[in-house]
Amino acid sequence: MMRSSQSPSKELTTSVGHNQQLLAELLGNSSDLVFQELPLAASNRKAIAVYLKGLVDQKFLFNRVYEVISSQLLNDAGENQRPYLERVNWFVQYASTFAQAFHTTNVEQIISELLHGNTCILIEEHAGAMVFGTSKEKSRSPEEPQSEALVRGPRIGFVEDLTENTALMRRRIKDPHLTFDSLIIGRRGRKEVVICYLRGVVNPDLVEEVRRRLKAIDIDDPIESGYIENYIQDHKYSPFPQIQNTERPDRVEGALLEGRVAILMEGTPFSLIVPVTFPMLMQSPEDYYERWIPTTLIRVLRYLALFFALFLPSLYIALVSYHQGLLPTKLAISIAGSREGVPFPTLFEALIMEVTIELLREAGVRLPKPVGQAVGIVGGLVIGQSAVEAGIVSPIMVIVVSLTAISSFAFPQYAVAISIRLLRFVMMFAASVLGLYGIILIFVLITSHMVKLYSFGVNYAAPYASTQHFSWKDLFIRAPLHLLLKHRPAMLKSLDRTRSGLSKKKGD
Amino acid sequence: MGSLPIPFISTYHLTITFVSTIIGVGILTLPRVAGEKLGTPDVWIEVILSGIISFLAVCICLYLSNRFPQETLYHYNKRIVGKILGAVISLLYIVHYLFYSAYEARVQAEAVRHYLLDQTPIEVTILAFLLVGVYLTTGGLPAIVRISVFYFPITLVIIFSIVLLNWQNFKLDNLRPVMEFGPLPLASSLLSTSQAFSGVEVVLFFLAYTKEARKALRPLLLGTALVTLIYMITVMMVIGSLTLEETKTLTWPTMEFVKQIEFPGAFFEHFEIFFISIWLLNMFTTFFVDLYLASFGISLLFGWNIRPVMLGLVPVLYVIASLPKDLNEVMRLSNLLGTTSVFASLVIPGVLLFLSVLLGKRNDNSRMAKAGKEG
Repeated sequence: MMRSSQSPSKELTTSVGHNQQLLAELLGNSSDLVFQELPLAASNRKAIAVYLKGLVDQKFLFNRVYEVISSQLLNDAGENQRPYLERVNWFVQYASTFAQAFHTTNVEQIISELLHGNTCILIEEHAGAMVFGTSKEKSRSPEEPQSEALVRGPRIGFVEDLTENTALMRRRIKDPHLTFDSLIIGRRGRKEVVICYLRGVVNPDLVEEVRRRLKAIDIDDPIESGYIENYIQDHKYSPFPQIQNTERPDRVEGALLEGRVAILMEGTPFSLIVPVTFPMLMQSPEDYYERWIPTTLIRVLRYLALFFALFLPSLYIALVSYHQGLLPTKLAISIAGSREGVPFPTLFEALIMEVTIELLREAGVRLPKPVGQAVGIVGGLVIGQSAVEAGIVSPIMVIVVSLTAISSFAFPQYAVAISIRLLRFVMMFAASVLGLYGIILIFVLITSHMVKLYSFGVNYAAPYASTQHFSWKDLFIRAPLHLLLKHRPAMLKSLDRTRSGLSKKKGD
Repeated sequence: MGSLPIPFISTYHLTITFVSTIIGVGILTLPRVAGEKLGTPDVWIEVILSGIISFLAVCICLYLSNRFPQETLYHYNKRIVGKILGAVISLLYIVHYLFYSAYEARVQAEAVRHYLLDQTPIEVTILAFLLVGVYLTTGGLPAIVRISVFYFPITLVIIFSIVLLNWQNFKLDNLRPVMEFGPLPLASSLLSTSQAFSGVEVVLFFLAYTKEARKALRPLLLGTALVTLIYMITVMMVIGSLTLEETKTLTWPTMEFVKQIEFPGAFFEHFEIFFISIWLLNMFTTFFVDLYLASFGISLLFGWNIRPVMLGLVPVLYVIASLPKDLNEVMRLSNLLGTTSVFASLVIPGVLLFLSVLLGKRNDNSRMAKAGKEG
């Protein structure tokens, strides 16, 4: 549509030369566009194979497609002494029986097929084109996701290829109710996006809402699923992630079975899951693979990590600069002793170390792995040690900051970790202005924000602070599966509420 | 706002929101306020009595509301007493809630100045409290209910751990003798304890949004019982460990009581950090409700949008909160509010109930709703 202004006639004509020129023009005479002439033996007519170099599977093209063409179309000799046009028609009919082959006269469709790596054959004196599916599936083989490593669990992650990913899901859930709805997003990028859900389990309104929001996206090219996330989230100015992203098919599987909706996108291994609530972001798939008692302990530990990552530096600032009286006497003395000679106020001291840690972390991500470790050692040990020895920061501050940093690595989702990172700094400033009172105010603000936040109609703080249903089974403790899996989470309003134990019930 | 609201509060959440609305300033000052007036250690009996009276008030409010299902007091008062008098009643409630929320902002500022920030000007803490409070309140009643549910478990855990940790300081002798001068003095000083229970009249407003509002009696009984229990335990523990004489001299007796916890192991030594935190959270939950009800009333009365009203109330509340010159005036305001809350929760609803029964006024769709539910 966008390139329509240039060409005089946008239709395919019987002139193969015109057709060739038309396609070349529409694709901007790109250097990777190949026109391969296939002369017809007896006559001086010709057929032309058009494809984009590198996108097509050359082997398949030469072995199968050309073989068909040469046997059915090119070969003028022998018993094939029918008139030319009749032979063309016969060829079109014959070739259409092939898998992934069809006949079309629509130029836009031809362009789109070419861009997908398919080959189209233009035939002289024929106002149409035969399209053969020759696209090369060039994807890496699935490997363990880097960003969500587990001790126990499937060692497989999504890849950049959408077909591979949907197949991966299909292989995991062999239920005919597993549904993929495909749509194209992006005026230029034209990325295929698949809405994935379990019919009969998911709330149809949710699927409809997801589809509505996806269709409303109007951008040139969603480069990664993060673009889509940004466009379909409820609150754009919130520090919290309102959509879950994952590389793990098992996580998506679990979400689908709960009655949530996954969005897979072409070109990225990161799929999105909606809706999501904050407690869900504190869960890891592994929680459900290990036994429930240790898992519960780990989950409590995770919430402790949340507390540390959010509050520890600000509590330190508040207690040291405002409420020394609230500290246990011995601790107060030892902190005062260690802070002796530190020339900065606590906030500044904390900021120095926090910013250093954040820099180290960022540098560690960018650098190649072996170098990254070296930077970690230099940063963590050398800077920490020498900062203390130089008297810039107190040793307790280093402990506080390290504990905070370690805690923020304990979150199962990176998106949460970076939100908490941001909020930690807000907390630190509040603590330096209003002490403990400032911390409480910010806590009230954060919780207020959370209970006002919705992700696709589900409250962000659910099920902890939900007006519908309070479920303790999967919050701080992870109940044994036979209890946990009786029902799907109520907040998702799924159609099929029961998950297990159906055989004990009367048939419904 | 003309259409019927969609009920969304479950009975279980009603209990929690009810409790978090009531528990506020009272828990810090109740032992002194009641002890001063009564003069005997029988404060805990008085708390029980107050609880019973509060439950009576709850019942009156409940029956009044149930005559007008899915409507709040602001909606139906004009049907009982007419348009003008109805507006006057609405206005009374609005003013009550305005003063109450301003008072909360002031009291928390006083407590914060006393325990946390002795240098920070009180204006800063009042304004910070108001601004943080109004942020949630713009989320409306669902957000208020959610945040109450959010904070409630934290509150319970902290309160009961305070009791446990302070167990060794508790001396039963301090609570003796029981009813030295007979039951009469108890009755005479009931009014002073009532201020700790102010807020029970929120039933008049919450019930409109409650699912199965007709079955709300039990959750509300549970809520009142819970409040009474928390107050009773607090009062017993405070007076039992500090003695009545000392309690009377302390501005914030419960805080002093928490301060004297001496539990082995670093941080529990200073349990008041936790206590002041949850107390502030409870101040917020009370404030949210009062601010919401004040602005809800104004928006209904004048037909204004509720959010601008909330934001516009912040400066008003700030001015009211800054009015009292010192802590004594704040306490006088507190006594005044204790009295008005008796009117708000007992007298006005009682009269309205009486009138509505007398005049046979009830909402037409109440019977329809009932029939619909049964059918």
